[in-house]
Amino acid sequence: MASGGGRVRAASLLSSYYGYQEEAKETTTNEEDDMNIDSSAFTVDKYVGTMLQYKSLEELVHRGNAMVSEIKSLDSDMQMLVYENYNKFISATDTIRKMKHRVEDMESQMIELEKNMGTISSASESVDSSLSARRGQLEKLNGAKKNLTKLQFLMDLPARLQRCVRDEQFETAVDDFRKARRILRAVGNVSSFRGIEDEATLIIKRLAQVLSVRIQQPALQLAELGLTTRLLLQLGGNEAVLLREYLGRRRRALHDVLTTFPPAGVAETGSGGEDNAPVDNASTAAPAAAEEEEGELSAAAGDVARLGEAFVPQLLELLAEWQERFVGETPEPVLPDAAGAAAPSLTIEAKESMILDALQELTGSYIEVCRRRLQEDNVDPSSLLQGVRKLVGALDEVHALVPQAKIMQRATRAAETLAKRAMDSLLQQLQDKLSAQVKDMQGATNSASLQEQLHEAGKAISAHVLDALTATAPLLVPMCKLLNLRADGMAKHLVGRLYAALLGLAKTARESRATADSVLVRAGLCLHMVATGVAQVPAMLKAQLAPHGLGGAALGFDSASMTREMQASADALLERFVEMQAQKLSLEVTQRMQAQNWLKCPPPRDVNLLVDRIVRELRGMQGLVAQVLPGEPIRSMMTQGPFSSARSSVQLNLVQRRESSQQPASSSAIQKDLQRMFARKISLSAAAGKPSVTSMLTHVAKLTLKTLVEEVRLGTFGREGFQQIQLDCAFLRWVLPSNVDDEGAVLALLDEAIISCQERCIDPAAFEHADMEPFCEAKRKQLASMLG
Amino acid sequence: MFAAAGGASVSSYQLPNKQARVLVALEGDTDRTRFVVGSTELKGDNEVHVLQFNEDTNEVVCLKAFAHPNEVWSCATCPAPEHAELMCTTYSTGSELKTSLWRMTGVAAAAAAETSTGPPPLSQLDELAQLGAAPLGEHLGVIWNAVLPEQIVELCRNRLSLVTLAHGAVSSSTAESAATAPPIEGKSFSCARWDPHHAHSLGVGCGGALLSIDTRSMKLAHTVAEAHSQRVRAVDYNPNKPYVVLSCGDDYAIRYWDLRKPSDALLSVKAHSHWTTSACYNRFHDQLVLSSGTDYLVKLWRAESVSSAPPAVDAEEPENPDGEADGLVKAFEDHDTSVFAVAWSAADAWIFASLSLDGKTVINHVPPAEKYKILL
Repeated sequence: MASGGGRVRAASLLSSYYGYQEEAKETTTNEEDDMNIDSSAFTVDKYVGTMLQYKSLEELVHRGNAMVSEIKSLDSDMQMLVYENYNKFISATDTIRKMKHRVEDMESQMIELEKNMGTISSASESVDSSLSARRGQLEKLNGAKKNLTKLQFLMDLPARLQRCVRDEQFETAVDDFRKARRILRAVGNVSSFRGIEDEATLIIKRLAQVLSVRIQQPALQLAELGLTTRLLLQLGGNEAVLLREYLGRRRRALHDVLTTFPPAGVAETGSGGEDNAPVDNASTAAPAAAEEEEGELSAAAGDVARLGEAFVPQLLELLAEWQERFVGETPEPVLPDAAGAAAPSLTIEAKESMILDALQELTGSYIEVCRRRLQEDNVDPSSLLQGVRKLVGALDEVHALVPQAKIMQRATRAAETLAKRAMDSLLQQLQDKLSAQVKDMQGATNSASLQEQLHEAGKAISAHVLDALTATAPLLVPMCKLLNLRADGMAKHLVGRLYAALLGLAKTARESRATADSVLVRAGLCLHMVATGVAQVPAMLKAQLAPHGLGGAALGFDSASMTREMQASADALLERFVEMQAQKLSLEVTQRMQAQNWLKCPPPRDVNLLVDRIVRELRGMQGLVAQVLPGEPIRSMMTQGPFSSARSSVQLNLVQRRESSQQPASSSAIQKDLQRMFARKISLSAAAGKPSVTSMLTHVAKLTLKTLVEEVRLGTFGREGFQQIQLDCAFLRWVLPSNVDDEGAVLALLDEAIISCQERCIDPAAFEHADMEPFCEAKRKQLASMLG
Repeated sequence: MFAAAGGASVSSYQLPNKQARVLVALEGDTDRTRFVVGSTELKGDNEVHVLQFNEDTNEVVCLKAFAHPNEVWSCATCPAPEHAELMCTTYSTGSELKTSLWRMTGVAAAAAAETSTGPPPLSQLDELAQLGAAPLGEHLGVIWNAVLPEQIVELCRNRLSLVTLAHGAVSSSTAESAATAPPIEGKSFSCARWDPHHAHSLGVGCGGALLSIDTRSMKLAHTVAEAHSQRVRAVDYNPNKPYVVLSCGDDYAIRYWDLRKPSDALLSVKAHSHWTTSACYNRFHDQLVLSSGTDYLVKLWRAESVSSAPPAVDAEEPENPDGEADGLVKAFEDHDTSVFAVAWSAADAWIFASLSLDGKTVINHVPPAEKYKILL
């Protein structure tokens, strides 16, 4: 077993040496395969059996040949290996022989080296012993000199202190005293030294008093303030009180800077003197902002920058002084009795929080001052941007020093509010402008110019919107980049406000107006917005926002709903216009019907002037509306058809009935049935759907005729009165149907007027249709020439 | 009872073959729902029908029919219960307008038949007094003062006169005590209504303006100069809230006013798509307003915000759960032609009648949902 294990180990060593490891591994993987000729589990019988069983003779011969050649090559490999090994063994033997020879040489050299070292060490020992006596003496002398110097220092102390106090070199005085105290404490038991100590303490106490008085003086320079405070601290003043006093004074000083800074006069004169400056800046703003820096700053930004220059260095200095003088290890108080129990020294955390409070408060008010300055009305967005940039730049340094004060966050928040506010005010201006635009649109003074006027107004609105967008541009991306804000929030805000502004336009348009003309013009404006105006807005937004990757926010502008709003406004206005027109005509009808005594009136000679008015008014309205609702063919007002075509079947029936039966009582029941048959219920509410010239005209005509019917029903007519109404209605029957889209309703209303009139007539004797023709023809000619 | 509560069915009554413009409640009778309808037939016979609405059967029965000598253009019934049979009508003789005071004899005693058996035989009206005569189209009617029932106002287009009635056993005497012409140049009176809160105050429509006149001195008390852009058709006082009135007119609108603040309407509603011929407050619940128009519709409105019980501004429920405080409750489409008169029942707060030109009277209920909203 043991020899077997040793052989395996030697085999594995050898194979690792000759690089057979890989193959060895491979063979281990299919160790169990008794068909693998290379594996250890290889069984010859099975292999040969299988071969004989499954392979053809040819294959077997082939395999046999292959095996013979494999065996041959293995043999030659083996020979090679044995030969190489022998070679190596010979060279190894040579090497070992050479090494043995050289080591024998080295041993004698080492022995010599050891001898030399011994000599060196004995020499050095002898030098050392000869010098040691002198050294002791030197040390003693040195110590005596030090003591003498100290003594000298102590003796001189009172005089020196006094001199320092006199020369106001307080710092040196305190320093000296502190040094001296340490020595004095050590030698305090000697009476002469105690005298010195008492004297010095007295001087220092006096000095402390002087300093206390001095720190109370308001005129004290800031630089000296820190120094004095520190000295007092060293002299054992109450640290909390002193530090608070110090900070308080520094804060007051900085506040003074702030309050006196925005030199009201300067700011006023600045903006007042160069009144056009903001405007100019606005126009040059975009390039200036792009060029950045040192270009002329606007007044507000300049103020902010100057304020920053005045304020921030002082703030930084305060911070530095604080760190330097008060935060380091607390100096040992020099006057133990003064220190007493009343001066618990503050922890570093407490001090830190004190300075942080002060910093936050100061920067807070600084930001507030800037904010107020930038919030003034004449600050346009680009100068606001500049101002904010200055503000942020100024605070950057402070922020870097004291990140825990969260100064930047405050500044950012303030700037964000400022930006939003500026944006709001700009869009409010836009809204006001749009409202003014709407209000400016009076009725058409010259009807031909109506469309032009609408076009102009539409253009003006687009221009206003574009202006507003350009004006807000600096507030958006640059501002957000500056403040590390997400610009899309700002963009959303902008889009929302813009939407509101346009909605305001729709609302303003809907406000009630006195004259029908102005109502129509506003309706036209709304329609124009529906047609083109609203669609432009998202495009403008996209043009501005998309380059900055804010295209998504532009999608927030719901132009579909805006279009709906505008359309709703337009519809409401058109409806109001129709109503106003109808009421105007109705009023004329009412007045005319009530003015006449229908019982006793002369026989009809002409179609009544009222009819003129109706036809002419409708014509005028057609002209106006057609300009607002372009793209619709204007029908000719004057009918071209023959008069006979206007003949009413009802009329004929009635007339014939009158002729055949002269007893009203007996025929009244039949008549009423007939009436009901024809007096169908006519809808008087506005037609739904898209407003068109004809539908509006139809509606006005219907309402006017309805008034006519109702007025007729209120009257009592004689024969001539009835004939006059009949004539008027006949003319309207002739003229109106070609101009309306609900011919049936109009004819029915006219029929109803005649029926009602007949009912209200004491002696109804109808005109023959033919008799009316000349009157109607004459009127038609007259109107045709009048209307062109 | 169930039919009334359900309010689903509509009761109507047709004046046989007659046009009609006049419908009023029988003001003196506050126990039964009765209305008076007068026909306007130029060339036929005219009649005045007294209708009673039976809530149990939901039927309208003609209680009494009177022959009337001429077409009735206006009618007013006496608000005093002891004189419930008195009525003033204004009628056209074909050449002029006359006004008479009549007694509808037997109306108070008459009991309604259980089922409608068609109109009863015609009775005669007793003429107690003649008031005045005016040219055609001039006389607008008589307005009875509900607080002082002996006082009436005769309203003509160009004249308004205060008349005191004294009732004798068989006839009455009238005495004109004061008169005034329209205070606005070129405008004529169009309608009037007594103020239920101030016995001597009369609200008048004059052209497009709304006036209130103190009848003791015949001086203007309040003026709403531009109440409507066209003729005012009707005025009514809020029964529960002094100085609040409504007016309607030919400009399709109903407007609510506080007479002390004439510059702006409290509320303005485009009520109909043509003339709004009449509008009146519910006698008890002033958030309900009824209107009629020549667009064949009768509309019931809710005007809660200008009523005596405005919707509570409740912090807990900022949104009114049932929609807006003001608006249309229901449009009744029972008529086929222009509606000229609507009247609330004098006896029941939830019943009203409307009359269209073709003589059709329709009696309707306030929808139960609205009723319970007001009551609960």
